[in-house]
Amino acid sequence: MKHYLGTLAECEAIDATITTNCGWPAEGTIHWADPRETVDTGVYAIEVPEGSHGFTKEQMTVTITAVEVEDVEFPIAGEDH
Amino acid sequence: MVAFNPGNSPIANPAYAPGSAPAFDGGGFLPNVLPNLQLWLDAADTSATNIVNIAGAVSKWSDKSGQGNDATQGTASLQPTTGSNTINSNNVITFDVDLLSIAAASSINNMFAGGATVFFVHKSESVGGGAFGRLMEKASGIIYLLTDASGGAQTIRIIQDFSAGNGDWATDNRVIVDDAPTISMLQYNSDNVNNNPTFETDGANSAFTEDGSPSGSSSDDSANPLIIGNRAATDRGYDGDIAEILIYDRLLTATEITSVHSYLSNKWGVTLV
Repeated sequence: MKHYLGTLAECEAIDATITTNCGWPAEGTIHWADPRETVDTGVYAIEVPEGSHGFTKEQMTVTITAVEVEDVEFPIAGEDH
Repeated sequence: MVAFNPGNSPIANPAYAPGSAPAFDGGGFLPNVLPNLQLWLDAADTSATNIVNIAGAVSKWSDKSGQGNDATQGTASLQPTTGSNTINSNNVITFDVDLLSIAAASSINNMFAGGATVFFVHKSESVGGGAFGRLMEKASGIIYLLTDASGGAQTIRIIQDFSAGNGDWATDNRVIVDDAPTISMLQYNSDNVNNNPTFETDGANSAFTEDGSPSGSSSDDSANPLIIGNRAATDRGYDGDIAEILIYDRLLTATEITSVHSYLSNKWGVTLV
């Protein structure tokens, strides 16, 4: 799964852009995704849409210029099961 | 309808009371005929009010039990999919990294306190995220998951949090086979640390091993949502289809279990063993 990387603010801006591109209302009940902090403190990731909700990837990501990154590593959450 | 054989009864809980309720045949039976149904998620009902979706992305899977325990997801990237797969020609909900959430403080808090019976009709594609794919989880309460994958099959496991040591039980055999529609039943009462769960797969008792002995009292999970298909950290995704979920907050009798199995078997085309 590919992600965009950035600061929390940058990833939140990407989320807002995708949400707007899909025509979902700002502060509405639906938005694209929550940024997650990676194993690198202060570096956040947000999933790259591959097409969803009837939109193509190109439609969802128009105007986004962030680089897509493969194999982002996240901290292990909780217990090992 | 498959005959119930008391000699094979998997019910090991002392609260089990055979003959306390009438048996129902498969025809015309609906899960809400039985008392104490707390959750009924039915993917075969594709009405717009039952499965709310945009182009197949599910934002709400409505609870048909009458308890209002709707499963929802407002984050688009985490919404499971409807309309892409079927089991026995019936629609199912497809998960991979997705999850649906039932609000905390629902009527299914601490579901195994006093006993509960859970049915999942599902078809797994793999063991899922981190090799611990969740059918459901309620943090600080229960985890119902697949694990121990080998050769395209997995064991199924229940972990119940207790104050001084969690209970942890898993089937001895890898009873969940990839790409095979399965009816998984779990029955358990967490009121006594000596109680064990009952696992049934397609109506047959599944032997299990206690990998962790419960100690103390069962933990309170009322502050956390019940999550279907993952855990909150989104790294334990169930990989496959979920067709129907039933949760009763009591120990169903053997005759009642037979009735539910018959209903699910007929509907989803799963042959009972």
